[in-house]
Amino acid sequence: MTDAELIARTRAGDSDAFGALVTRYYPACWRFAVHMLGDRTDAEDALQEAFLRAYLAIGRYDERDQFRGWLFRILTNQCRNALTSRGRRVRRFINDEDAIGQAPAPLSELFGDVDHAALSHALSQLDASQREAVLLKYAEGLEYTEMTAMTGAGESALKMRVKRGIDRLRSLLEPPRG
Amino acid sequence: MPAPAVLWLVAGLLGAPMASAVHDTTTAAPDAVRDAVRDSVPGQQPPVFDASRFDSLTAVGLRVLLDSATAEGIPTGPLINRALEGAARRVPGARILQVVRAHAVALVQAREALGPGTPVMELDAGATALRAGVDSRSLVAIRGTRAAGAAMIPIVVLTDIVQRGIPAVTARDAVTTIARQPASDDLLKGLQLTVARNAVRGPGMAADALARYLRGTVNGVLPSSAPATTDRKPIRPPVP
Amino acid sequence: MADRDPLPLVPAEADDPALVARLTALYAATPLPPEGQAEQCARAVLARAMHQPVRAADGVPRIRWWWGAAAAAILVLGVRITTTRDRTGVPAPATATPELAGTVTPTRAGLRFEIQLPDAAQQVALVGDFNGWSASATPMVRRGPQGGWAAEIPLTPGRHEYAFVVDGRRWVIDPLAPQVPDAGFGPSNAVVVEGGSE
Repeated sequence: MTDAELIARTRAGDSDAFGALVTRYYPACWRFAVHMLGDRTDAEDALQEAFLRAYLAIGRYDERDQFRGWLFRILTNQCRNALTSRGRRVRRFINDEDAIGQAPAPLSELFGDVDHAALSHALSQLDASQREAVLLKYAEGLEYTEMTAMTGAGESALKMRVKRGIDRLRSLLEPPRG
Repeated sequence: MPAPAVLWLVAGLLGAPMASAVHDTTTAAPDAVRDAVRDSVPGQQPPVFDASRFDSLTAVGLRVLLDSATAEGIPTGPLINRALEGAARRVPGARILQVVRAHAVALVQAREALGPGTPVMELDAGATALRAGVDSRSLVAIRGTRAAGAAMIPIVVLTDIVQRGIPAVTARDAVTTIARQPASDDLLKGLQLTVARNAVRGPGMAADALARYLRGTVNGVLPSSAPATTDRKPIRPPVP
Repeated sequence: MADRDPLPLVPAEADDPALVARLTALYAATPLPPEGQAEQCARAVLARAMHQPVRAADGVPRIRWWWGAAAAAILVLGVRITTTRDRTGVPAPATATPELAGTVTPTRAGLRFEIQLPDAAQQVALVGDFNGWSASATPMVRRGPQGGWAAEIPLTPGRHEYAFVVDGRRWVIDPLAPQVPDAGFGPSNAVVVEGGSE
């Protein structure tokens, strides 16, 4: 069944159709979210928030849009929200080791390959907007025009973020000079 | 060794006299239960179910299911309970069979996750959790915090908060974190109530409330299960 | 490290193809989400969406409620709500407002169930796995003129499932008590009775 058919059925109240949509797009969204947030638990939460908002807004979705792009716009927003609220939690309880209350599940632990783990760790040290831009451009393979729609930032600002992100990654990954 | 579920309720019905006048003890128990009393030897045989509660096709199907469950070594009490529930709700026989079969499968999976020494009611709780979308890993994790027979409350709480929208991993971590503390049943019940109260207040409210509650328990402060802000009636969705 | 260069005319990808290649390789090597997580996410979304304010102009879909649906059942029936029946004869809820308030209290004799219904009912029965779900086994007793009902029964230690039947037809549950979600019949509540040799 095409996206359009599943969406039409979802609008008609078919919850199985919505389930099929989620199943179809979950892996791709997951891949972005885990690298963007660096944590599997946070990624799971962000995905749920994103799919919830998508569900509630499905009446407004325009068939002429690509569903994937529309969904990703919602997802990138949710990831940004997640990072903001994570920052707030950390700042508020900066002295309380147990404050976060959830077992962290860092992404870099999943990679057996040392190079992958190192790159994953380096990504997590980037500024959020640089990391987002780098992931959208090189991991997701988007064009800058698509990225402006997704992030609300202008093309030149995005190019700057990508360049700075790449430069920072390179310096993080270089072996320390003696 | 705990007796199958139906015998528990039999023991209950025949048990201590009511102290309150609220319940009329002369009200007849349903036929299925009385037959079960008559036909079963406590702790020795699975209870017999009353076929007259179902149409003949469904009754035959149920008998087959119960026999194969027994052959698998799964307790039939929970399956009989499910079938009786379906009959009471006047659900079509075909659906009763589907649900009972699915529940039997879930009981097998629950036994795998929770271990062979698990009492029947706890197994039933695990099967219900699996049917609700809780994954086996969560049951295994709960078993890691509680011995056989002591895991019912964590399982019930996990099943509930997942249905109210707490993401699976978050829910599992929250429940296991609390459950591994000694004497934490009340804390678990408080968690469930906090999530339930806050879930109706809007998206993300339940998850926020859970995080706050968890911080409180980890810090050794017993939190109240009141909603986050001052206690007021839950926000009701407008009637369309 | 601040970048003081003017905005590069050459796109960044020309600068470091090796790093770009590593990024795409990392992405491709990302492990898939755990089995069943997508389905669980869909269920959770549908459950949470039930509590969203209904905005008719938005085209928010209303879920057709049949038992095979992936939706979790936070199914709360106020007595005032009229129900419609779908093809299979299972009552489907209209939108729900949580009006039923219940408590469960251990007593010396067993467990006391009390509920508050917002509207007048002729009779209310407590049903559960302790009485074969029979609506005639445990009638509840009216408590005062404000819509309160109560029943007290002995219950063996362990987990029990229960629900309430109003006027012999309508099955309702306590929205705040632990729920046993719809697995084909409709939701019910669960309670764990302490004690016993476990």
